[in-house]
Amino acid sequence: MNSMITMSPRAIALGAVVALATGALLVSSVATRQDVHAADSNTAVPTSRVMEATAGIRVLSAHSVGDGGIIDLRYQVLDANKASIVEGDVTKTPQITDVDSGAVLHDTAAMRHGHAMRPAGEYFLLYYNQGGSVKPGDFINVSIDGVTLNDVPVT
Amino acid sequence: MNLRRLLAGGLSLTVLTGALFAAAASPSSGATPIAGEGIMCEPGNGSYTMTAAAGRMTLPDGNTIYTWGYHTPTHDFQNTAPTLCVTVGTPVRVALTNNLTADTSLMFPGMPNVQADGVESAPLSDATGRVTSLAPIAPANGGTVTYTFTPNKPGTYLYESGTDVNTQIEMGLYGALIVRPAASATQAYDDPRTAFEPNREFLHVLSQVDPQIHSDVELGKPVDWSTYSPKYFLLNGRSAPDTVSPNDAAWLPYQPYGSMVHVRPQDPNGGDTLPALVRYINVMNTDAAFHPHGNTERVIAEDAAPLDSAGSGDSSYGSFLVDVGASRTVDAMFTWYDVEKYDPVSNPIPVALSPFQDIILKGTWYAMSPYLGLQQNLPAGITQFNQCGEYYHMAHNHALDKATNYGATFGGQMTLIRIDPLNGCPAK
Amino acid sequence: MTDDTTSSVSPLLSRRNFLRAGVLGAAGTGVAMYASKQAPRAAAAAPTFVPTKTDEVHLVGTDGWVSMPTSAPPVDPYWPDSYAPNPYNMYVFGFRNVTGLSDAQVIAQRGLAQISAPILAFDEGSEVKISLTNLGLSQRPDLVDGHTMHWHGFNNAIPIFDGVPEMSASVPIGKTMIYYYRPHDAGTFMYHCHFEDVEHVQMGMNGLIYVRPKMNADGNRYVYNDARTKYDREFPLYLSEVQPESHWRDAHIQITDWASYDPGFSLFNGRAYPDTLEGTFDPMTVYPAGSQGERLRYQPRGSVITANAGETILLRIASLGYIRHTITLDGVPLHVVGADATQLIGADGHDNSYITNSVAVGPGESRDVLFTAPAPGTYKLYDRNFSNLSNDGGGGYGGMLTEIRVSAPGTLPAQAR
Ligand SMILES: [Cu+2]
Ligand SMILES: [Cu+2]
Repeated sequence: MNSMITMSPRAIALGAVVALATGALLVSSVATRQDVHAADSNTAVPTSRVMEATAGIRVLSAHSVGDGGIIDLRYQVLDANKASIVEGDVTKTPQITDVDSGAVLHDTAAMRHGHAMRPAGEYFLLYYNQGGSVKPGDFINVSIDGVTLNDVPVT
Repeated sequence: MNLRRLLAGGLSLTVLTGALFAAAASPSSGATPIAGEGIMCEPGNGSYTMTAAAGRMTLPDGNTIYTWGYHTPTHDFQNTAPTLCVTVGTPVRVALTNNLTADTSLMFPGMPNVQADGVESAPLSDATGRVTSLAPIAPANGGTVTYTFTPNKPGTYLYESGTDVNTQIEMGLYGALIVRPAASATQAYDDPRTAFEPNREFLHVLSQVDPQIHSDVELGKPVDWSTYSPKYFLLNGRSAPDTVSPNDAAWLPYQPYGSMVHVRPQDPNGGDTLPALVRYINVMNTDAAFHPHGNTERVIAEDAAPLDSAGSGDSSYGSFLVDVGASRTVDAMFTWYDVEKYDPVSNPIPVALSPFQDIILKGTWYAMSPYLGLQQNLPAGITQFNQCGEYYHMAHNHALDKATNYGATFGGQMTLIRIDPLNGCPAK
Repeated sequence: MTDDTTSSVSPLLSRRNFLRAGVLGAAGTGVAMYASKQAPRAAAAAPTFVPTKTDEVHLVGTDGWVSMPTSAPPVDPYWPDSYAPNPYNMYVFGFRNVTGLSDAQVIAQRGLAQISAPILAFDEGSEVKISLTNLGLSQRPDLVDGHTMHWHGFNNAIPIFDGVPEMSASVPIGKTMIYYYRPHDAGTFMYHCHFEDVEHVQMGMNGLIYVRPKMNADGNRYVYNDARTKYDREFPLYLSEVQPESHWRDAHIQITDWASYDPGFSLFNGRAYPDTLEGTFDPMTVYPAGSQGERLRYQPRGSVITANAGETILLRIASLGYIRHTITLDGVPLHVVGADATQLIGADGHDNSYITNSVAVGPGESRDVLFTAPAPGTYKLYDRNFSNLSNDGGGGYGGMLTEIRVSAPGTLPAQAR
């Protein structure tokens, strides 16, 4: 199966450094949260080339649904083999951390695809929003297997 | 990490905490409308304008599909026609403009004496007497027609295009017509037993999409129905899990209608006092068997005919599979009782629950507690700001091939039933 | 031929004969509101439930091989499946009832699933503990699929025991979870795995649950707590379909497009005609090589209905197929007294049961149907949707077809309970 991205040496190096350092929190490649105001539908979703290279996915959006009880995280599969960890390896389910409150969400329901993912397909993870901790307007960090994408706006 | 962010975090925390205290002091009471939930009626008070137009819909797998729908005063374009909520005895006017390149029309089965531009709305025929449309048309490329009628019977109705019906209904030209009894807007019918909890009124319009047909129509190619094979199965114009996004979610600009059912337990000590009403409409060409988890529903009407005809006794029936025949409507009552009243201290669940590491938690939703209203046993490191512990059940088409997004499970004609604790869920 | 309705359930289940002195349920009295069907229970502030007894059942979920009628035309390469060990021809997932077996015996059932699932039967007012062990898939060690127990139609369910993995939990390979229920409502229910449901249900993880009414304590047999639902014999008529292509794809590590569902075999109690006429077998028994018992022991239940003329027969019809079926019985009037485990009475007690010659059953629905056994003879019971009367598109008859064999009054002994 063809990988839709090629991992640059720089990305590999960066990923390794980050993994060696503290694991998380530092890898937002495009910080979009320049100011203190709340996320809204105009706030751009950041991307992480490291995450795209290591997990094979690009985070597309995060929404508060189910009357606030559920956070609906959507992502696109860039590399179906790498992305299979997202649903296939229960120890590596992406974790959501609310930037302001520090609340962590990791209980998810996934749309399963008969054991295989489709390159370029879009998928979802629904997070039980423990205690309603993540609210529309918040920013969240999404961590997958030691790589973190910072400041994803929640609408 | 900069100072501004830290400040912002601290500030939000303060605001958040304040909000929670306020919420704890006055838990929301039963009938409070919840923004973005429940049936969303088109504004207009019986007078509506809509323009048939082409647009797009999005599916949870990232697919975008060319569809037909309507432009309205409130939406640039919407899949599933506006939900029209009208009242027995009050005249209704629907002004239709047609921006499609094909003639179109609307028909309102079940409505009496429908007029089109002031004359009886009757099927059109060509010179040889063959039917060309089931209702007078708004001609292609800007034509108009205005339908008027005065509903005389409450209930749930399907209104839809009467022109080139196979294609136009597949493309999306259908919607819900809700007729309320004159006596009460919170009763399904004249019978007071059909009263439902205010703001607990939900709509499930079941339809399906074969992307090939939509592509053929977009490209102006002839449509081949012999290979018809729907791949997406919609609830109110959305496919799960988009179904649990709120009404008018900004990220679904052309699919405004959510379908999550949201209740509280019925109980003398709080919660809901009346059932929720779920109005089902099946637009598909096959029967639908819709399965609400959590409890059996009581079917109180079919095709806007209450199952309690005067003098002959109540013929409503319980159903854990709500059968909605092709092009039919069903009204059903949903309630949920906290029968066992499990409580971790005074009435624990009588079996040892498996250690959490023994059941798959990731890849599932689980509040870490099986108890309504409680979240507990939180693993270290999880911060807990308040407690709600609401339950979620699913509700789905039990033809399980239709609970998929192009074959992927946990999709399609599926939504959630959310059950809040007796005293509600603290403010979000 | 003997009645078989209780033979394949575990000894533990048949202990229900010894009903404790239960409270006689009052027949449905008129209640005013649509809302109030269960309200009296909910009104009790403190739990007052005292179970009449406890049923403990141990189920396993695994995969295995079964046999569709060998007379059907092959559909290359999907059926017969080249991987299938003799004398089987189709890959399935399924449950097995392993109650009372030793740990070693339980583990030995890996790869020996049955379809349809073992019938479970409980009494209203009892408490039920169902342990579900996931034995994994012998043919697909690459898959880490969980399994769950979804009691389909259980009223006022709580999510942890509803078996929807996305809403609660599922059982990983090698683990066991106990599901706890207090059935408060009599009727014909179903159960199935809800893990990737379109696949696991199609693969065979589905079957029947009966809840018998408290009123049975008077020594008679009723469908509901209402004397009008009295019967003499009961038979399961469990409907499902299988699409050989998707079973083959699961065995051969390929992906099915579920949106193109087109089943090849339609089944009564897990078998297609003429296998429906074969006897009831036991998955734990070793049958002689080449015998029907060897071929059908993982589809253990036959569908021949036996009765004495004049007796009242209960058909517990339920479907976890994905298409609609219409069951008819050769000119014998069918009295539908319950649907979806709810007696057909209105909120005011009005009798809404009805007599028909055809009973439509959609996906996930159940119907409780009474009929009076007609004059001695053999009658055909089948799906009037004739496209379900062929095996994999072949000629002749197959699929959902079985027989009612009626004897002269007094010929057959009373059915064991
Ligand atoms: Cu399973
Ligand atoms: Cu089910």
